[in-house]
Amino acid sequence: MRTSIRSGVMVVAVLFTACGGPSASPQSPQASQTQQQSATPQAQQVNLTMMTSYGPNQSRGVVLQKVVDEFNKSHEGKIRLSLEINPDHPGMVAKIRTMIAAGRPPDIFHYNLNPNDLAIPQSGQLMDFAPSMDASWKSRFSADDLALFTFDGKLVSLPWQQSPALFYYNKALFKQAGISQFPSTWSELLKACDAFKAKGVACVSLFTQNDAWHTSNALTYVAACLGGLDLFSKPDWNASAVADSFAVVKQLFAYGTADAVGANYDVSSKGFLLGKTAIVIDGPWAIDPMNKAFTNSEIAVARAPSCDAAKAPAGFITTDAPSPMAAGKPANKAHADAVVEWFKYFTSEPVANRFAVEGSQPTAFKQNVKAQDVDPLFANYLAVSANVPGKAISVQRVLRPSAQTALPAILEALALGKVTPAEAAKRLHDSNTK
Amino acid sequence: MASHGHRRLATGAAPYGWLYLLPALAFTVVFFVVPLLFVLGVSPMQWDGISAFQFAGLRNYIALMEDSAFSTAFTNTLLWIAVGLFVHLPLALLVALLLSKRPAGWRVFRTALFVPSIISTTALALLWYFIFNPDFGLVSALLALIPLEGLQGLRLLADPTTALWATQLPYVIYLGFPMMVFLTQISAIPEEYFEAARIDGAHDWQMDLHVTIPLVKPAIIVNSLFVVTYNLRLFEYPFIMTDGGPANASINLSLYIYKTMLQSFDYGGAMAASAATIAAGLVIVGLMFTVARRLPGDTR
Amino acid sequence: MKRMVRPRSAVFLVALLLVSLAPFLWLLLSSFKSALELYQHPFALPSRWSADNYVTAFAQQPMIAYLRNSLLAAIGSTVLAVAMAALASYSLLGRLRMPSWLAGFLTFGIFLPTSAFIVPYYFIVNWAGLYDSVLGLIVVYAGVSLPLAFLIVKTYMDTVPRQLLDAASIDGAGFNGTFWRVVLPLSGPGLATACIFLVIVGWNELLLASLLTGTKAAQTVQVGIRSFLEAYHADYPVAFAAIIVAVLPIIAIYLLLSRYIVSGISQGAVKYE
Repeated sequence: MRTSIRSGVMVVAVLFTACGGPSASPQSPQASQTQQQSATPQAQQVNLTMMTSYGPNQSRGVVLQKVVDEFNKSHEGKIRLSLEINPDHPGMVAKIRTMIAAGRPPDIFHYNLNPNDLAIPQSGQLMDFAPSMDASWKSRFSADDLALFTFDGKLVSLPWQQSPALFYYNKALFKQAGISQFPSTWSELLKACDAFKAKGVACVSLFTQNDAWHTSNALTYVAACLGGLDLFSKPDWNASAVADSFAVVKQLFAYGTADAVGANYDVSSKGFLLGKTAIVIDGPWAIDPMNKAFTNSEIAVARAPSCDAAKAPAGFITTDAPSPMAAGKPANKAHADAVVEWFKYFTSEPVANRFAVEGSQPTAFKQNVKAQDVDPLFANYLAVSANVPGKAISVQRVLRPSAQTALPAILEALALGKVTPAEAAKRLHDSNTK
Repeated sequence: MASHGHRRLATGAAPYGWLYLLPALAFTVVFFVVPLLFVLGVSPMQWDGISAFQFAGLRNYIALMEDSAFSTAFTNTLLWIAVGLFVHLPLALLVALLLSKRPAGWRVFRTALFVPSIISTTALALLWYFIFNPDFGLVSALLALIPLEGLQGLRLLADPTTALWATQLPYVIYLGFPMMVFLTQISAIPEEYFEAARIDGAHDWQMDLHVTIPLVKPAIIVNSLFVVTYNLRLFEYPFIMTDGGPANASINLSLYIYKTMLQSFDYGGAMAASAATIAAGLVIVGLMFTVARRLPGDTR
Repeated sequence: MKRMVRPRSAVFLVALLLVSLAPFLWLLLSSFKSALELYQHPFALPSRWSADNYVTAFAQQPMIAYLRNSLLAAIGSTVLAVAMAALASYSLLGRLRMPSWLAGFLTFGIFLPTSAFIVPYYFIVNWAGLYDSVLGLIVVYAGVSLPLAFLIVKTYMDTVPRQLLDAASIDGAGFNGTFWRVVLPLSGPGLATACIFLVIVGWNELLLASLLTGTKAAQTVQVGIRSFLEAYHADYPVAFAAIIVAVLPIIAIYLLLSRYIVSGISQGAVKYE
C-alpha cells in the first residue's frame, strides 16, 4: 500500500508537470491579445475566438466553419479566428453572461435579442460598430434591423438572422386524408385534423420540454391573427385573443401525438419525419433533415392559415428571435480592426449567399440567390417568407426569462386539462409581469 | 479519548502535524466557504448575471415560499431521499449480502451490476425516456401484451401522478455504487466472526442480521450520506425525462435551482433556493446522525 | 467460501442483472442504427450493422483528446482529493487534539449544491489562469469532491484501533511513520471506496467541465457527448456511440483495479488482527 501511495504521489506530480505543458491553454483571449500586441511593435497575428452554439450537426454550423476557415486562409499571419462551439444553447448563454459579469466578454459571439431581457446589449461591454459603419457596409442591412440593435446611440450588435418559422406539411398524408389544399383558415385546419385523426395520423407536431418551440409557434400564429402582430409587446395582452389561442392549442394537443406532452424537439421533429404528424411549424434548419427523410419532394411549405376577424394582415409570418452577432469591447485598435474586418467579410454578399446555397439559412444581411441555386424546399421556404406584410416573433422568445421557464408547465397543464385556456393565458401573463 | 500514552506522544508528536491538515483546509475555504459567502451574499439581491446587483432584501425568500413549484421541488427532493434511503439502499445491501456468499459467477454479477453506475446518468435518463415513451417505448410494448384495458396507452411520464415515480425507477434499480461499498466492507470482515457465529449454531440469515449488518455500519453511514448528497444534487433524471413536468410534478430542488439560474436568469432567487437546499441537507443529516448514534453497531 | 444461494434469490439476482445490463446493451444496439431507425424501432436489432455513428463521432469531435482529458481529470482529481483527505483524516484522529469542529468544517461542503457555485468557480479559475486547462479541472474536481472523500476516508480511518497506534509509537514510529506504516494500510478499504466514488463522479461530471473549458485542450468526453445532443440538432445514435466509447476505458480500469482493490482489502483485514 505504501509503495502504491508513493507512486500515486509521483503520478500526480507527473500529471501536474504534463498538464503545465502544452495542454495548458493560455489565459482568456483578451489577456493573450495584449501579450501578443506588446511583444513587438510590428503587426502581430490577432487571435480571436467566436462563441457559437452551431456545431457540425447543422448545415449553418458547417457553413460557419467553412467561412471561418476561408477567412483564416485569406488573412494568414494577420488574423486568426477560432470557433468555440457550445452546443448546449442555455449553457452557452450562461457562459456568456458569466464572462460578461467577470468583465471578460467573449471576442465574438451571437445571442438572441429578447426585448424583455436586454442585459447583454445594455451591459456596456460590447463593441460599438457605429464608427466603423460606412455607407457601403450599412447598405447590407435594413434600417429597421440596425435600429433594433442601437442602444444609447451605440450600435452594439450586427444583424445576422431572424429565421421565419413556417408551416411544413406532408403532401402525401394530406392526399391520403382527402385534403387537396392546405387549409386557409384555422377552423379549416382543425377540420383537417379531424380527417387526419380518422386516418390514424396526428395533426401538428408539438412538444412541451425546454422552449416548446413548435407549440410556441402555433400559439403565436393564432394569437397574432386574433390579436394583432404586436399583441405580446403590449403590457396588457388582449386577454380574449390569448385565451382563444390557448384554446386552439389545446385542441391541437388533443389531435397531437401521444407523446407530445413531455416531448422534446427531437421527438417532435422525428414525429413529422416519420409521417406520424402531417404538419410542423419550424425554422429553416428543419429542411436538411426533411430532405434526408423524404426522397420524393413530399414536403412543401404553406402560408399560415388566417382566422375570423383577423387583426393581422394575411400572409404574415412568425419568426425566431432576432439573433445578432456582437463583440466584446476590444483591447486595442488592432483587435478592433480585426473584428471589423471579420464582420465585413462575414456580412458580405458571397458569404451571405453561401448560407443560402449550402446552409439553407436566410440571413438578415442581403442574400442574392436565384431559386434554382438553392435547395428546392428552401426555395419554397423563401418564397413563402419573402415580402410579407408583417412579422410576429414567436412568443416564447419575447417573454421575460421567468415566464419562458414557466411556459412548459403552463402548456402541460393546459394539455392535461388541469387549467382552462383562460387560466393558462392569465398564468402566462402573470409570470411575464411579476 | 486521551490516555497517558497519548499525552506523552502529543507533546513530541508533530509541530508539522498542521501541515497534514492544511491542503484540505485551503481547498475547503476556496471551493466552499468563499462560494457559500457569495451565495448568501447574492441571495438577498436581484441579479440577472450581468447587470448590477440590486438589493431586494427578503423578497427572493418570500417569492420562494409563494412559488408552488418550489414547494413541490422541496417535497419531491425529500421523497427522492426517502426512496434512496429506504428502497435503493436496502436493495443494494440485500444484493451485497447475496453476493458476499460468493455463489457461482458472483464476480460476473458484481461487475455487471456495477456497469450502469459507470455509464453517465445522462445516458441512463435518455434510455428510460425512450423506454417510457407511450408510442414506441418498451413499457408500452410490454403492457400491450397484457390484455387489460386500463393498462393501455399509459403515459407514465406525462401523468402528474406517476411522473415522479417513473423518474425514480432507474435510480432505484441501478444500485451498483452502494452495492460495491457494502461488498467492500463485508469482505473486510474477518472470517473469525463468522466462524464464531457458526459454531454457536447461527443460520445464514441470522448471521446476516446479527453479525454482518452491524459490522458494515461504516458502509451504511457512508452510503446514506452519499444518498442524501447525491439526491440533493441529482437533476439529470427529472431534467431529461420530464423537464420537471408535467406541470412541475416531478421537479426537484436541483433542477429548480438550475432553471431559476440558467433559464430565468434569476440568480438571487437561485441562491435563495440554494440556501434553502443547504439548510434542508443539514437538517436531514443532523437527523441521520442522531438516529445512527442510537442504533447498535460498531462505530467510534 | 462458496455457500448455496436459494433459488428465489438467484432469480432475483438474474432479473436485476438483466435490468442492469439492458441499458448498456440498448446503447450498444442503438449506436449501430440511424436516428430515424432508432425512433421507428428503438428496441429491435439494427437492420444494418454500420459503424457510421462511430466514424461520425470521431470525425466530428476529437474523441481521443477528450478521453485523455477525462482520464487525467478524473484520476488526477481523485488522487489529489483522496491524498488530501487521508492526510487530513489522520491529523484529526485525536493525537494532535485538533478542535472537533474541524471535521465538520471539512465535511459540510457535501451539502452545498455546487451548481449554484458556477459563477464563483468561474471567477476563481480565471483568476488563477486555469481556464481551459486539465489542471484547472483537476483542481476544481478535487475541491468539489473533497468533502465526500474526507468523509469516506475518515469513517474508515476512525475504525483503526487505538492500541495499534499506541503500539506503533511505542515502537518508535513517530507521527509520520505511524501514518505511512500503520494507519494508511489499514485504511485500505476506505481509500479504495473513496477512489471508486471519486473517479466515477469525476468521469461523469458535465456542468463544470462545460463551464471551465473551451477547446479540446481540456474538454472532457462528457462535453464531447453533449455536443451530439444539441437541443435542435440531437443525433442520439452518434451520442450513444460516443457514450460507449466513453464507457469502455472506465470499465477497463475498473476490471484491472478490482484485483488491487480486493487484495488491498484483504491485506487490511489480515493486518487487523
